[in-house]
Amino acid sequence: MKIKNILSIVLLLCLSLFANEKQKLVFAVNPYKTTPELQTIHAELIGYLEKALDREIVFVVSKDYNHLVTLIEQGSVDIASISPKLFATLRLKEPEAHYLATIKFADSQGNVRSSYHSLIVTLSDSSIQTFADLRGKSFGFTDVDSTSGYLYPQFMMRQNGIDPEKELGKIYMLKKHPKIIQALFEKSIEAGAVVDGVYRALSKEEKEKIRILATSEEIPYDLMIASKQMDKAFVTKIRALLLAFHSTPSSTFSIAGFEEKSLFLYDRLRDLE
Amino acid sequence: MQLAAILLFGIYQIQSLYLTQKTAFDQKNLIQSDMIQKRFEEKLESLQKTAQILINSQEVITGIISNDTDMLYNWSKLFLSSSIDKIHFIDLDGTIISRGELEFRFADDVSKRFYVQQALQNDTFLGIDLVDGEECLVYAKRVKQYGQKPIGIISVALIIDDALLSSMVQGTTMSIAYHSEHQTLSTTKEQKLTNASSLHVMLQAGSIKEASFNIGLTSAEELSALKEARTNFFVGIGFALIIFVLALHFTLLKHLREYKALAQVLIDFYEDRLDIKEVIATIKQVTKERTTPEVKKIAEALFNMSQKVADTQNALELLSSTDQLTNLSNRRKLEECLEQKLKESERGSFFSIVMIDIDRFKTINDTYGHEIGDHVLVHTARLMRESIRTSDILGRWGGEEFLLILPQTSLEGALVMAEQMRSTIYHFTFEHYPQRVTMSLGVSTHHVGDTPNSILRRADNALYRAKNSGRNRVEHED
Repeated sequence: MKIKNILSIVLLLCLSLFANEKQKLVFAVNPYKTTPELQTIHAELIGYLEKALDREIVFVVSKDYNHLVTLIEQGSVDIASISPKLFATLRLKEPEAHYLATIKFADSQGNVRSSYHSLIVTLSDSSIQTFADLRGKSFGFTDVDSTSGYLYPQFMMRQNGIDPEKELGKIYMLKKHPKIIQALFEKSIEAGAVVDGVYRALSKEEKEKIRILATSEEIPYDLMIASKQMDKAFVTKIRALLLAFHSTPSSTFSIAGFEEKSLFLYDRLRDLE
Repeated sequence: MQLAAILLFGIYQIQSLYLTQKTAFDQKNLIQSDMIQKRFEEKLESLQKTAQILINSQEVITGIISNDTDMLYNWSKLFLSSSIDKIHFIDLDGTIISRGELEFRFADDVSKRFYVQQALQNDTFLGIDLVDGEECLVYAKRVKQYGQKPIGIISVALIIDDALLSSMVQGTTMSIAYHSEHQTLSTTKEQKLTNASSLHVMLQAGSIKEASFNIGLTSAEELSALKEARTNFFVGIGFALIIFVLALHFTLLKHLREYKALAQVLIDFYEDRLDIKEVIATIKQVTKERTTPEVKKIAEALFNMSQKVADTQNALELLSSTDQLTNLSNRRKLEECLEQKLKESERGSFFSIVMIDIDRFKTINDTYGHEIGDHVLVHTARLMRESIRTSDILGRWGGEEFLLILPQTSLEGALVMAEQMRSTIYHFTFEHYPQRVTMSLGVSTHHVGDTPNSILRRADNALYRAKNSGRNRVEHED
């Protein structure tokens, strides 16, 4: 993985230089999946943009989130797909990147969504009925960096007068959202936080076993940004192209489309921590 | 002696072979026991090493601190194997953070478990305890951040089950049994292991009472087969020995019987149950029978010797019963014959006797000397002998007197014989004696109740009358 990342960086640098000379666009993404998977997800979009802009697009995968931020700040990439939380951080920096559009993904049921929610769930027969009932109860989060699996649930708890750091019982980090549900079923935890997509993917019988204690406000999906160094008119053109993009129905695992979201939703994320 | 030595050597060899095999058998079992012991120790080492590897991981430390169930699960599942069934991460409250073997099961309280308490109190525990309801070999160790600050416990366990026991004795002829207050497991169906011994396990006393591992032979078949082989060898040798002794006995008996028969003939001979002729006849029979060359040779030698003895005996007998001068029977022989005839007469036979005396023989000796007298005696005897039947017995009774015994002859027959004899002598011309020789003869025949003396007396009386009647005549009893 390391070697792959190093090669990506070298490739990125080389292609950046080359792109400047040949008017190519450098499109960078977070390494939230493997490079082939990311290529598959973005293939249709890249093809669409290349054709619409009549410019070749160089697709690169950054080493990590911070590296992507650095690349954006350095102006080494033209456009990028980044997480909402990262965007919220970037907005505090100067020069601020241009917001292009929020990505819409299609879930397993075929619903196209540009945002999601964090759910605090427990078992239907649990004694936990309110936030107050969470005191002293074991709780499952996914990861400390997870918006829906950690930050929002904690935010909601604090909003409801519960200090998750002190008042919850044992806290477990389960990384993957479906594991929260499984751990609940196994009664290993008494409550947990999951993304709503995981809940929706459950069967009817499974859903009946789960009770949603709280639902967060809308959390936007990843978004596309453009470098501040780019021409504004060109940025506008790209934004228009993105908003006009609709993936073909067969491309299940690709980006479904784009939507404009209020930047407040992103700024709000900074309050979560 | 040689045979006994060979047998003893054979038995010694078999016993040595048995002991060698037994030693090899014991050695093999010892090696196998050591191997099982080592395998067991390896299992324990594997538990400890796995725990140590995980403890050394900074991510695991972080995972325990942050209750990162998923990361601990991902780490621990990599170490599950046939030697590691359970890996648990436990916080200092005794609550399980993560199980390697069960992804979604955690957060349960195990603080009351003996191994957890031991690890919390004594830093480590290595022993047998119940883990999730199963009896396991457990290694539990307190996990410390930076090697100092306790943050939790790791427990690595191996379930004590049939699979574990089988893996420990795999490839050996040994069996292993585990016994505790909860269960009894064994790799064999046998109730009891043969040559069983306890596994030397360096385990801390746990909450499971009477937990012990025993190893032993799966069955006594191999040892029994070895013993049986030895017994069969000995029985075989014993049987062969008995057969050999019997065969030897009967062979010797067969040979000795012939020797014994020969010896018995000789014993019968010197104890007078057999005379030499019977001895000769018996031995001759043996020489004709199918027998061994050795016996035949001895029989032939005995036969020849007996012949010689018989010849000598005959010669002596002849000598003792023959008058040296006339070669006729002497007086002793005549007395025997007379006794014999008298005995035979008791069974119906009869006989007559003739007492003969040369007339005036003293005058012959005096006139012509003893040599001429002997000459007359010799030729008179020869002439008389030539005139009698083969069954008749003629002998010199003494001096110039002779006695003739005539078996199955009446008085009349005897008189005829006596007269012929007198006439023969009377008409014979002696070579060295110029005058006639005459004989007086007295005849008597056997009467019932005769004794030698009575019949001799009557013959003697008749002779006396013949002498008194002028000599050269035959007279008979009244």
